[in-house]
Amino acid sequence: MRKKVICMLAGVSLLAVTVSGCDGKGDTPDSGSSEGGKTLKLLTHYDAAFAEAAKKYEEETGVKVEVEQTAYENIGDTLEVVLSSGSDEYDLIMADGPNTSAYVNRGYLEPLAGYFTEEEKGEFSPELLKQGTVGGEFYAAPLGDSSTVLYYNKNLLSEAGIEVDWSQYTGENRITWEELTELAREAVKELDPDGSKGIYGIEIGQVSSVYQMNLLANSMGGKNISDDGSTVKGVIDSDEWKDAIAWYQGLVEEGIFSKGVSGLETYNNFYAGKCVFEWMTADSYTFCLSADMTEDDFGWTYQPCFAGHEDEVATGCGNWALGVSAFSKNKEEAGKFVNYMTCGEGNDIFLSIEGMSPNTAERYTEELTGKNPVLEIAKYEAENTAYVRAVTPAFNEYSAALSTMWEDIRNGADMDTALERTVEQIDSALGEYSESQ
Amino acid sequence: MKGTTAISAKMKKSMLPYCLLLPALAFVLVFKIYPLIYCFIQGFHYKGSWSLETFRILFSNKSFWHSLWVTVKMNLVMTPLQIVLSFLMALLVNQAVRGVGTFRSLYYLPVTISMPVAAICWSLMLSVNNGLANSLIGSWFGMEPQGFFTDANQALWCIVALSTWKGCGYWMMFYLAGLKGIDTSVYEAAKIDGAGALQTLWNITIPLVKKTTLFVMVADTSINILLFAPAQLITSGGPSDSTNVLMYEAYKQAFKYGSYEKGAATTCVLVVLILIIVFFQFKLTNQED
Repeated sequence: MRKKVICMLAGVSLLAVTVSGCDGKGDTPDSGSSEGGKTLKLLTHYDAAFAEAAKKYEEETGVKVEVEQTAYENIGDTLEVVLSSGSDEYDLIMADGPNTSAYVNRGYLEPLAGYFTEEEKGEFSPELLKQGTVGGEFYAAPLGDSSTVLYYNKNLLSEAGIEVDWSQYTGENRITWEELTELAREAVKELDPDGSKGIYGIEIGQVSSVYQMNLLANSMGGKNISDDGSTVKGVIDSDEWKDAIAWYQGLVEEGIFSKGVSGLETYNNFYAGKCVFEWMTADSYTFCLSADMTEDDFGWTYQPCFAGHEDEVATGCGNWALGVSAFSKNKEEAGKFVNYMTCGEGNDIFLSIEGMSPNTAERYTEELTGKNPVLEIAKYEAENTAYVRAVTPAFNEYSAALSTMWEDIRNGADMDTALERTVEQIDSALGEYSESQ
Repeated sequence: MKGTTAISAKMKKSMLPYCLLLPALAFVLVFKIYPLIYCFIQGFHYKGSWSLETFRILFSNKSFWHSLWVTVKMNLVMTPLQIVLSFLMALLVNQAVRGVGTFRSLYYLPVTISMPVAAICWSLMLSVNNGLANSLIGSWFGMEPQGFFTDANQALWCIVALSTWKGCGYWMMFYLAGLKGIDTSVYEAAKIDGAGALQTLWNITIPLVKKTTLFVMVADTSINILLFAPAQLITSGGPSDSTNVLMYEAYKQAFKYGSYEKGAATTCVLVVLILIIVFFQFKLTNQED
């Protein structure tokens, strides 16, 4: 009899463990309340900055924010899985600026209207506000902005015997891509004539991603999507795009730009002195310092322009934004934290740790630019040349198709075939979204 | 009273195997059968209602047909290649020579490496920029560097090579077990009858491991059709969609584009594809019987 009871208990326990293991909500830390107050949960790749801000926030409000870390590459897929199941695991949602529209379309984000005054919203840069607003409703508050900047390796240039007066270049008088490629050609010829050292002329930080690659076409006057957002036909296969693609592909074939190297690797190549010029973002300054580089090793200047298109320079903008999960049980507390992290003291902590461009012109303080002098350029670009990525609920499909296209172009694919396929893929996705609305 | 006790004891005895199977069955039901049924239900839904619209959208998409072709093309080469190679490897390690255990371990070693690790190693080895393979073919044969995973004509075959390298050791073990099960007296009789090595292989070994071959064929086909890790980790389906297999397309639909219905519909197509192939494999093997 005793044996039977033990067996039954063991069986029931096993069943209970199995069932609770299947329940996504079962063992998660209490997302409702903790000792002394509520607990919010966030998944992010900016864990250090959030952890610091969360500590301060808890001291001030008693609301605890649990910061769960994930890799930059995984955050989108992880959130997609969690949110599509309607899970309330995370109260706070990180969205890359252009993804906001897609998240809203899928019902993942809660409007932030109640947590931001019109005055607070008005302080955000117009481009950032545009990315966080869908159908006139504000859903995702920007943590910061971004900007594209050209970095150069002083040691490699000096080793190659190349002297450039970088101080002559300003926002109105930039180095051209044509001049830059000539310098890169000269440097590589001197530093690595037989290619055995693996030194590249120019690398792109977010190579093959729409954030940076589209800027080449934008800087020749090309747009990202039609004005009504319904098609890319006649847009990404326009002459401006074709000129930009042909220019890039030619330089990859020549070996000035790299091939078969991921974005992350291009950063590492720059830190390791394997790349003369790297086109990165303003916050890359802090990454360089973290990689043990000093200002004696590298310098920076405005993003180049194409000769003949000096007045059409388009630089990157937009960054990760914070929103409230539509499935959260703590929407009010989460909304207040979003405000704290994007308008309040939390944003100061975040920016000072991440070295990111601020989300509003007023936040370009001396203290901030003292820590990251590249932000001076970022400020200029945000006010004059920032170019918003395509705003569409099909941004994931748009981004994936175009990233594939840029990578194919890099690998030597036929331009017309690649463009034709990409237009078809994106327009098919755009068509599905417009049908479902 | 005595009769009731006897029935109860008999019932207990007959129920025991089912009780022992229950935990495994529960896991299969929860993690295999339920997701499959759920997947079919989702696939036949569109915007929350029962509909064939998801399939209509899917079948009208050129990318879907391209991915289907890539999947079929890859499997037409990879599955027979793996079966033949693993059988040959099993024949080799079935020999009674000194140190054969070491060879068995060496051949099996790739199986123990996880796919992500294998994918990273192969992508480094076949890197277009000073990868090991390019260094070797350059210095030994004076050949130009090859694109491998960055070349639309080579990437799929590189994935086939990687998966074959990783998978053959596993199937080899099944063949080895099959070969060990063949009675040595059959070989001795063939030898007395004057059969040569090839005749023995063709007329005795291959027919006698037919059941093993059927199992390997079915299991290998199912695994290979669902394979997408190298495409995701190394090529992201590129270059020029040349490695965009259907399973990766389903993954993208569900986890990147948030379209679970399309992802589920794509998976339904894959399941049907596997069932068709397995049906023909059974049919073919039974015909030979």
